[in-house]
Amino acid sequence: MATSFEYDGNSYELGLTRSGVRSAEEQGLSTSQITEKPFSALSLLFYAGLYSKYHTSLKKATNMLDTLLDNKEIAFDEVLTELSDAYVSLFGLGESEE
Amino acid sequence: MSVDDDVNTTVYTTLTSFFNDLCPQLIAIGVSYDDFWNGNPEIVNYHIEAEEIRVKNEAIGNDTLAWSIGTYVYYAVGALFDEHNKYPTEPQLALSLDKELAQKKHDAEILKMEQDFLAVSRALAARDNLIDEPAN
Repeated sequence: MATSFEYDGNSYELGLTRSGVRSAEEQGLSTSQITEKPFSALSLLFYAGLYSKYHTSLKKATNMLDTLLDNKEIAFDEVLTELSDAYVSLFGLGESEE
Repeated sequence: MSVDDDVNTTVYTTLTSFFNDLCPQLIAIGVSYDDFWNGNPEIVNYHIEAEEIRVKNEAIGNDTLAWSIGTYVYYAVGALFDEHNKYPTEPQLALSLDKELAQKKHDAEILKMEQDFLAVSRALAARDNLIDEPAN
């Protein structure tokens, strides 16, 4: 996963880590939410993707996401698919891909 | 009791609970706490692959040791029942693995062949002298 973007003059790159997922789950993220409430799930996944490297708050991450979507700098479907795939793939940790 | 009783049937509803259970197991195989929580998730997969290789090599090593012990027992029993069967004077696997040791053994064999050849040559020379002497 290597979605990168510019925001407020700074470069960011999304990178889902376990601590990011843990923090997002503490804020309410769940697997079912991704399919049932994709809009709120995306904010939390986006926050998880920024957590380890940038230590952003959920509020700031949500504002960033809204701005980026409004400006069409990132596409909702693409970023949701990428982040949710990365999230779900963490359940299959260590399994062979054969 | 069924065969399924030992199977871990924990149902994880969040990744956090899954990670919390997984973390100590991965630390046990050498993953650092920081890599586990803050590193690229792929790091853990490499550690798992490395652990699989280590376990496989250990199993091969243990099997080779068991086989080697069996071979020595076979030599020992053979030597007990037949004097023509000699128990090895050096560790057999070490010779094949340690090139320096193998070279020393090879050099010693060459030296022995040379000495044997000289001894036979001297013996032949002495015999010839003995044969020739009466003719003189």
